[in-house]
Order: sequence, then C-alpha cells, then structure tokens
Amino acid sequence: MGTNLCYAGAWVSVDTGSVAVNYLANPIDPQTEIQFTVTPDASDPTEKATVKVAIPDCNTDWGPCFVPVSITVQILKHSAKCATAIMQPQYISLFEQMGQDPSINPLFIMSTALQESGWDLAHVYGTNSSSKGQPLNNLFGMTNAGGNNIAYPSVSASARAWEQDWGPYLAYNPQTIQQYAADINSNPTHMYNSNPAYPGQLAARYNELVTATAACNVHF
Amino acid sequence: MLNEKKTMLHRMFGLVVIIIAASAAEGQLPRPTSSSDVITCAQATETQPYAGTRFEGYVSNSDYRFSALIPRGLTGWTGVAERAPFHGFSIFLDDRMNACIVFEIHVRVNEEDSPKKPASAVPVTLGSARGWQSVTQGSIGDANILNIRTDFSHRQGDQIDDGEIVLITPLAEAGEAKAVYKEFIQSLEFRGGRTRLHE
Repeated sequence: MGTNLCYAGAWVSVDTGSVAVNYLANPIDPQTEIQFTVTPDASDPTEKATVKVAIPDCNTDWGPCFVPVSITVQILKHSAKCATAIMQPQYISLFEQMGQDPSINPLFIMSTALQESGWDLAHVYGTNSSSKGQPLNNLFGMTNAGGNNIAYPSVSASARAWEQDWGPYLAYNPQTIQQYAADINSNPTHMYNSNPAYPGQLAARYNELVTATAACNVHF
Repeated sequence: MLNEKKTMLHRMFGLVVIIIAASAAEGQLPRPTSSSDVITCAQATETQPYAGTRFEGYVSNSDYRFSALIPRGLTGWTGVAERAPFHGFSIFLDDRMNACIVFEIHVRVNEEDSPKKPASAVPVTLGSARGWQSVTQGSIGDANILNIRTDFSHRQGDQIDDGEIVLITPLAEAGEAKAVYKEFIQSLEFRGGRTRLHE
C-alpha cells in the first residue's frame, strides 16, 4: 500500500502502519526532516489522513525557517496507477459512455484499451508516419488493414469507430471478461486478436483495473 | 593522394561496419534443449492461411518502428479483422500447417510482463531491439518438433514493445525451415525514437 502527495516540495508516502515524508528540495539537510510531523493512521486504505508538514519558507543566518502546513490526503493503494493517463477522468467518462449501448461493463472495454495502449495510452499520445505530427488519439490501436495505427481527430472519434466495428459482436451483453473476449473473437473472419494467449491477457488487465479503480476511487 | 587514402579508409570502415552488423544479427543458434514445452502451429496462433490482411515482400510499421522482408514466395497473414490492432502475422511454410513462423509484437503494459531469458538463450540484436534466441525440441504425439524462439524488446522513448518470432517445424524438415527463419530474422530491423505528445 502506498500513497503520495506532492505539495510545495514535500512528498508523502504511506505504507501499512507508517508514513514517510520526504522533502524534495536539494540539497536537503537531514536534520530538517525531524521537523516534519505526521499524524495519519495508514492501516485503513480507505481512510483519509491528515499529514502535517513543515515547509521551509525562508532562510535565516542560522538555517531555514519552517511554516507548518496541514494537508489532508487520501490513502490510496497503487497510487502510481492513479496518475496514469488511462485513469484520468476524460477517459473514464468515455469508457462509461461506451458501456451504455450496448450495455457492457465499462471495465471490459477499458481492459481492451489497457492491453493495446498500456497505462500511458501509447496509441493515444503517440505519433506515426500517418499522423502528420499530431497525436494518434487511437484508444484501441485500430488500423487500416494491418497497417499503421489510424490517426483520429479525437479520442471520442476512435471510441465511436471501435463501437461501430465491435459493438455488433457484443450485442449479447457479455457478463464476464471471458465472455467478452470470446465475443470479440467469435467471428473467424472478423477476429480481434488471433493470439491464443489474448483472452488470458485481457482477463489479467481486467483484474488489474478492478484493483486500480477501487484504489483510485473510480466508479462507473 | 590524401583523398584516395580517405576514400579507402571510408570503404574499409564501411566494410567493418557491415561485417559487425551481420555478425550481430546472425549470432550462433544455441544448443537445442529437450523439452515437453514445444508447441505446434495450431497452439501458437489461431491465424489461418488466407485469413485477415496478407503481407508479402517488404513490410514496415511506423508504430512499432520495424521493417522486415517476408522471404520470396511466402505470405504473412494477420488472421484478424481489417481494423483490428496490428500484432504481427503468421507465415505458413507448408500446406499442412505443420511448419510456420509466428511473429508477434505488443506494447508492454506492466514492467513485470517483460520477457524472461532462459539460461540456454543466446543474445540477439535486431537493429535497435535487443533479445535472445532459444531452441527446444521435443515430441507431441509421434511428431518430433523443433521450436526456435527469438524474444525481443524495443524501447522507443517511454514506450517499450515486446515480441517474439517463433519457428515451429517438424524436425525432419527443419533444415529448409531454419534457413527461411534465419532469412526473415536477418531482415527484421527496429529503429529508435518516436514522438509522444504529452497531454
């Protein structure tokens, strides 16, 4: 378990039962860390903790002086995932919309994007020789006949294109990630991925997202 | 006179570079290890011949930044829908689909998903990609099968792509299949750097 908070040069990390406050300014005088006071209870991952940090504000002849600051932080599991591109609100709301018609667990669709583009959405922010220096905005790595990734004018345009192509195969509202993986590969002439390992990979991504969304307080 | 010497030096330098590059790509095949983990083409891919997009001759991809040459007379099949994500292709070396080369590539999602190098593997360089090659042979039913597996990783900025090129062939027909595999591997080249536009 861990969390972090960047505030005025202080970084707070929380682990089960202990909290560390790191001052990011360099060079750091180890003595100054003693002046940080922390009063969280990190044993409950859903609890909010109040972290009191003394931030150096000025320099005097005998060293830095400190201004105490109180910060409330949410203790989060896997906090590193919360900061990734795919977990940002604009994408979360897009997956939520995509899950409405046909009615599909948005986490299934999000798992597909995670498997294709990674946590940092490589195919959204990346460029290629077809994108003329613009971001690809391609949430699912869709291509033209196996060529380069298609460059879309917006991420929502790539979402709509994906729905047009794959929505008909999801009309039976798959209830599990295994059913979902089977559905998008159900037509041998219109398969999504021909790697026999793909269903297992997609299920692994789904499990990671179940954990990450809970920890990052993301709800559909 | 000075110019002639310079030209000669340039030529010699070019020859040395070519020899070094060729050696890096060729490498030496590791000794085969016997294993019950050998796989068939049907286990390696669900792609069927004539399914999906076909590739012949020169193939390049700007997203994964590679180029390759599919050996003359052979075809790579993606096996997937026209707009499906690109994850490589399969080349079938015989009509019975007993021998094939499966080329797969994907974006690494988690650091812990990086390929694990077997102790018997030897290093391989594919342009700016790095990897290793391992050889296994074993039996499935009464068929003796050889697998040559080249795993690779390619970093382009903060994105890492992983993949593999697997040769699957009946041991009795391995000679010709290995030659085709070697030709394909030697043509496969990854190039560095790409642009990522930050949010």
